[in-house]
Amino acid sequence: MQDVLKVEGLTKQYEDFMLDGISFSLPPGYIMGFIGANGAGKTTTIKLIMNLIKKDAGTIEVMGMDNIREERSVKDKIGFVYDNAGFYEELSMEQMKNIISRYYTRWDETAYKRYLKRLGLKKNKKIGDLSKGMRMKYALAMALSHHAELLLMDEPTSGLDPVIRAELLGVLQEVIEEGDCSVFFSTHITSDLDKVADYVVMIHDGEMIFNDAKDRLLEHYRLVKGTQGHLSNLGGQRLIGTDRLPHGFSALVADGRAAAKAAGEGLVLERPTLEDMMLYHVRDAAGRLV
Amino acid sequence: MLGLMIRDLMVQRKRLWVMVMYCVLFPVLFKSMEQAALVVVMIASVYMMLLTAFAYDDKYNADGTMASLPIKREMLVMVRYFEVPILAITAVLLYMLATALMAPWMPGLFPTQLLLPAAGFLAASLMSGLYMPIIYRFGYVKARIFNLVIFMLFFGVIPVTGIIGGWGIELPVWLATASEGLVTLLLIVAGIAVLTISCMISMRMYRKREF
Amino acid sequence: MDIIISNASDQPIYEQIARQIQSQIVRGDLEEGALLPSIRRLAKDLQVSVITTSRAYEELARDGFINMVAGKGCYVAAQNEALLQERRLKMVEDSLAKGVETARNMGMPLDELITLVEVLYREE
Repeated sequence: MQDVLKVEGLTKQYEDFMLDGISFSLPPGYIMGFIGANGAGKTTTIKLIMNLIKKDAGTIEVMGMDNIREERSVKDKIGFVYDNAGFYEELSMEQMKNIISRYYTRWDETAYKRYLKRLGLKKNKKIGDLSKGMRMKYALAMALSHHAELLLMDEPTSGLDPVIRAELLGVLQEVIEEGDCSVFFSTHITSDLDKVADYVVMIHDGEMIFNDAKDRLLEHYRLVKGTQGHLSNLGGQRLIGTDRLPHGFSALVADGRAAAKAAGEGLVLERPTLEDMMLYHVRDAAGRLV
Repeated sequence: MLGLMIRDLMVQRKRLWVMVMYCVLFPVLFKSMEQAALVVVMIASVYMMLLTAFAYDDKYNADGTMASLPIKREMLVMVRYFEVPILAITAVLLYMLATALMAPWMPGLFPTQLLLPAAGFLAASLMSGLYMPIIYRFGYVKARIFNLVIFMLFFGVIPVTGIIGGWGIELPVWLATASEGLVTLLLIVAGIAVLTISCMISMRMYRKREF
Repeated sequence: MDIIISNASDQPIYEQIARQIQSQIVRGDLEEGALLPSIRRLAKDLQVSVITTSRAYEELARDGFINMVAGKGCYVAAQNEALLQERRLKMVEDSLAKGVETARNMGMPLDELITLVEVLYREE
C-alpha cells in the first residue's frame, strides 16, 4: 500500500543550521512520532512538508502526490495543527471556521460540531479569549473535520496540562481506528509517544538518528548500568551516550543481549523509555564533537 | 474571494469607525482644498484599512495559517488588490454623506467633479501599488520603514502641492484640453493598470515567501 | 476479556498480550468462535501501538489459537482438545525450562531441584 507520507533526502540550508538529507516514510493507518530536542529540525521538516518554507533538495510525497506540484490537493488531505499558526483573535471560532472551511473539498460540518462538543468548546466564543489548551483543541477540531487522511501536527501537546494531553492522545488513537487516517506529530514530550506511537523518528541537529517501529526499538535497545569492570568488557561494543558516574557508568546499547554477554555477570539492563533514547543519543552526538 | 474580503472586514470592524472619522475630520482640516479634500480622504482610508489588514495578518501569524490552507497564494494577494477600489468607493460614499450633512456649516466640500474620485482612485492605487509588493516580499514588519516613506510622500507632498497641476509637468495639449469625462476615464484606467502590474509583482513575491 | 499490561516488565508488550489471550483460550474463558476486538480497537483500549496488537494477534494466529478472517475480524479458533493439552504442557515446559537452566548454571543437583519444585507446588 502506498505510503501516506514519504520524505526522501530532504535538505534545507539556513545560515547556522542545516536539515541534511532527512528520509522517512509513514504507511497508512499508523501514528508516527517525530522526536528531537528543541532546534533539532522538527518544525523545519513539518513546514517543508506544508511548503511553508522552500526545500533546497529532496522529495516529499503525500499519498503519492508531490507536495509542491499538487500543493492544493495535498493540503486538502492534510489536517494541519501548528503551534505558531494563529487565528484572527478578533473573530469568534465560528467566524474563523467559516473562513477556513470553504477551502476544503470534504468539509464535514457535522463532524466539526461533534468535535467541538466533545472537546468542550462553544462555537461563538472569541478566539482571543481562549486559553492555549482551548486553542489547540479548536485547531484539532478543525483539522479533524474535513476527512483528512494525514494529521500533521507540530508540537501539539506543548504547554498543555497532562489531562488535556491524555485527551488529545485518545482522540488520535480513535482517529486511526478505522485505518483511513494516519498521524504524524512532532514532540519533545516523549512520554506521549511511549504508549501510542507505532513508529518513531528521531532527529538531532538536522540529522536523522533513528527511524524504526517503536516496539522494535524498545525491544532491542537497552539502558545498561554497571561498574568500571563491565565498561572495559564492553570495549568492543557500541555504547551510546556513555555517562561516567562516580561509581560506574550508564549507557545505551542497540543490542541488549549482546551487551549482557560481553559484559558478564552483574550488568543491569533496563528497557529504555523514548526519553532515554533521546537523551543518550543527544549526549552521544555532543560527545562526538569533543 | 468574497469570503476573504469579509474576513478582512470582520477582523477590522472597529477600524471602520476610524475611516468614518477620516471622512468627517479631514474635510474640515483640509477645507482649503475644498472638494479636493476627497482625494486626501481616499488615500488615507485605503492606506489605513489595507495596512491594518496586513498588520493583523502578521500580528496573529494568521498569514501562515492562510498559507497552509488548500488555497492559491495568488488568491490571497488578489483579494487585497480588489479591496482597493472597494475601499475607495466606500470612502467616496462616506465623504459625500459627511460633507452633505456638514454643508450648512461648511459649504464647498461636496464633490461635484467626477474627476476627483478618479484622481483619488489613481493616487490610492499608486500608493498601495507601491507598498503592497514590499509587504509581500519582506513581510509587514520589515516593510514598515518603506511604508512610512511612501506615506509621507503621498500624504505630505501631494496635498501641499496640489495634484498634478503644481508639478510643472508639461501636459500634452490633447490631455490639457480633453473633456472631463475623458480625463476621468484615463485616471481610472491608469489606476487599474497600476494595480494590475503591482498585483503581478506581488504574486511573484508571495509565491516565494517563507513563513 | 481481561488484559493487564505492565510497562515495567521485561517481557515485550505484544508477548504479554498474546500470552494472556492464549491463557484465556486454553483455560476455556474464551470460547471457540468468540469474536476478539479488532487490532486497532484493542490498541486503543490498551493504549498501545497498533503494531503491538498486530503482532500479538499474528503470534496467536500462527500458533493456531485464533483465526483472522479478512474483512470480518479475529475469532477464537476451534481448539482441538488433544492439541490444547499439548499446549498446556508446552506452557508449563517453557516456564520450567527457565528454572532448570538457572539451576544447572548454578550447579544445583537434580534432587535438590525436584525437592524445590515439590515445595513450591505444595505452597499454593
